[in-house]
Amino acid sequence: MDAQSRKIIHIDMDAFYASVEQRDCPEYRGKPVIVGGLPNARGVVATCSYEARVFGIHSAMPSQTAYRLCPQAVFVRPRMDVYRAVSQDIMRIFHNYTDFVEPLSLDEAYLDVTAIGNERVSATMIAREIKQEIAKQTGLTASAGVSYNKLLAKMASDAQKPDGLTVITPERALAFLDRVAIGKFYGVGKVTEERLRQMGVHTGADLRGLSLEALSAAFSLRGRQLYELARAVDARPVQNDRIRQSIGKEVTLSADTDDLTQIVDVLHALAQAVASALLRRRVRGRIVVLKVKFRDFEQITRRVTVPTAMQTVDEIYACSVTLLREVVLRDKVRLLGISVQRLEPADEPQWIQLALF
Amino acid sequence: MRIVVQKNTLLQALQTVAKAVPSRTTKPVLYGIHIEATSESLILTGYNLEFGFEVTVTATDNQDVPMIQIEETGAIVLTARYLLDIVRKLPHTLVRIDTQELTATIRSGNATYTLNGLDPREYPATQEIADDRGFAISCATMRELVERTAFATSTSESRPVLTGVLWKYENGLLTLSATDSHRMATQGTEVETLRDYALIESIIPGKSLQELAKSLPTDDTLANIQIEEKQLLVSFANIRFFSQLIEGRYPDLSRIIPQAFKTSITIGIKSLQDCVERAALLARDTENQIIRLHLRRTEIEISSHSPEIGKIVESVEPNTFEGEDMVLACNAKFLLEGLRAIPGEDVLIQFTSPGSAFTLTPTATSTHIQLMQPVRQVYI
Repeated sequence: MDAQSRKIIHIDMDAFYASVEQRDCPEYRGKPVIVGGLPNARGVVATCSYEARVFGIHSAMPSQTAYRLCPQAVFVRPRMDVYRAVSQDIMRIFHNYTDFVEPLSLDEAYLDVTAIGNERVSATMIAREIKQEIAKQTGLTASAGVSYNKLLAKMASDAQKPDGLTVITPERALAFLDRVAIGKFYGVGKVTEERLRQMGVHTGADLRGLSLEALSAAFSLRGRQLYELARAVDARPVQNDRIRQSIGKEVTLSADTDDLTQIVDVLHALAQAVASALLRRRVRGRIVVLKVKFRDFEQITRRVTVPTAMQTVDEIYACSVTLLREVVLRDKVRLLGISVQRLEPADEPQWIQLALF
Repeated sequence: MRIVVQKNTLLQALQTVAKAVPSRTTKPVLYGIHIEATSESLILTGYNLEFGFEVTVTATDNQDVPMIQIEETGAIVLTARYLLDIVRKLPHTLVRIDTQELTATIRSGNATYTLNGLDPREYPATQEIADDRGFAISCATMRELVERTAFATSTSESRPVLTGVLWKYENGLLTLSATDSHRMATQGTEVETLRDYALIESIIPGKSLQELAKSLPTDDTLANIQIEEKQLLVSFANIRFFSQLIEGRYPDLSRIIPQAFKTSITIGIKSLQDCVERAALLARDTENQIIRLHLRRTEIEISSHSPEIGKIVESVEPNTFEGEDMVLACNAKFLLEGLRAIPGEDVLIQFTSPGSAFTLTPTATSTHIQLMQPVRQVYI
């Protein structure tokens, strides 16, 4: 198929958790609402309403910082069960249109509608209908992006928020990308962004100015990906049957600590949470990743691959304790996380190398 | 230091000690070789904090051309990599090394090299052994002990003791054993002891022993072995090898060797090896490199399959077969490594059940025994 003939829609709910809270509690409407850790506790902002964003608050910001920026904000604890239920309704709406739905999280998904569009029904019309259907069934707004690949569709949905609908046609793709800030590109995190900025790259246009050789030299294998993204080349398919890549849990401690007993206790609790999530999804994994964030917010990860996929608390706990031994606890710990990756279905038999003792 | 030494003597000594020079270390002085001229001899040392080699070159009277001539004593540390490259390429059979403070001048024929050295006082001291009495065995035997066991050590640091080889001495018998918890190899030998050792159980890093084995001659040269509280020392010819021990408790292996078997086969090692190697071609990419063994009186069928690629079936005829037919699966890499360590032409393999360990030995009464756990398919 021609690289530009696919029709991909990216739907992203607007300030999802906060909007659900405002829908369910009329007194929150029109106010800055922050869902996440409470200001006297030590969590971070999960989502905040548009009213709160005006104050410079954004997700992943420590709740205490958010409180400093906007003391009058309404702080609420997340009600995950409710969000999950709403998410299921939304996903069901998507599936009424196509089987090619790839959820990225509770409030975000890609849809490939290439097969159902025709001259009379454009992808843009489908996106508009889906937005209306979501509003009717859940009372919430979503922003949609329509284009011919995932990269552009996602950037499009981000272009006008809230309640936006942005279409990027092949003719307009490069002009659109040229104006996008470099940090908004898929796969460009803080570190990559910083390095690109040092190379004088601030927008998509700057990125497109770099040769493949220059990018490969600076970013080795990922250089090619950046080179292609700058040219709006993104062949990733929408994967409807996608098994999740990883399952993880993390927790911000109630107080920074360097007490090993306490750290190990938290790891055990996390291992339990991860193990039950694996069980629920009927998967098991071969890689365990331990994440440790220190008091100064520096974060490190350590990973181990085991020969046979694991699912139980004991296995995951043992791996994470082994990984912890590799970590130099140079400062007090703020956050701990465990995730299990390289998942596979748990109901197939697996080969086990038996042990002598 | 002012010395004249034969190029080949020096090169041989350097090549031996360089085996202990680390490729990565936090102590830069260890990238060097410690060279010391005493009034009688030249002593070269390479060391990586885990193990080390020391070679002593002494002038002996009965030589037409003396191996070494020491004009002035002294010591220096010179970077191993450059020193080796230089000595290897020297044009003349004799080499003169003079040092001035921390600079060494190496002359041979018309070539002159000046190398910046490191301070020998920074080089970590290697422990002296108080009592030089120990076990005596031939180098060839020592080499066998290591080569038939060290391959079974673990490469994972999750249980450090398993990266080592257990040396056990009891009642005149020295036994080396290694296991990575999936397979085990053990080899014993009678030794003469000059000291009144009681029971010894020490764990020596497998990696250092493998380096030792490479430098042992394959003849009857006597190797003297001393096991101390903190280190192992093996001296042979003009070489001393020393290694740290691994601390910790080694798992009890005394009860894991099965005594009764359901199926026993003897089979030519070479033909079995070839067969397993071919069958393993498809198993290579799977995690445990799984091959299936179908044991039948008439033939041993070995197969492997990969859902994506295909299937291989091979068979080999056993020399003898006693007991029941059996089907089991095992790791091809383990089996091949095990077969490689078995001396002689035939191997005796004895099975109890598809889910329990089988043994590999040269003969039923051998002091070399290997144990291997099969792999099983399970639903979990």
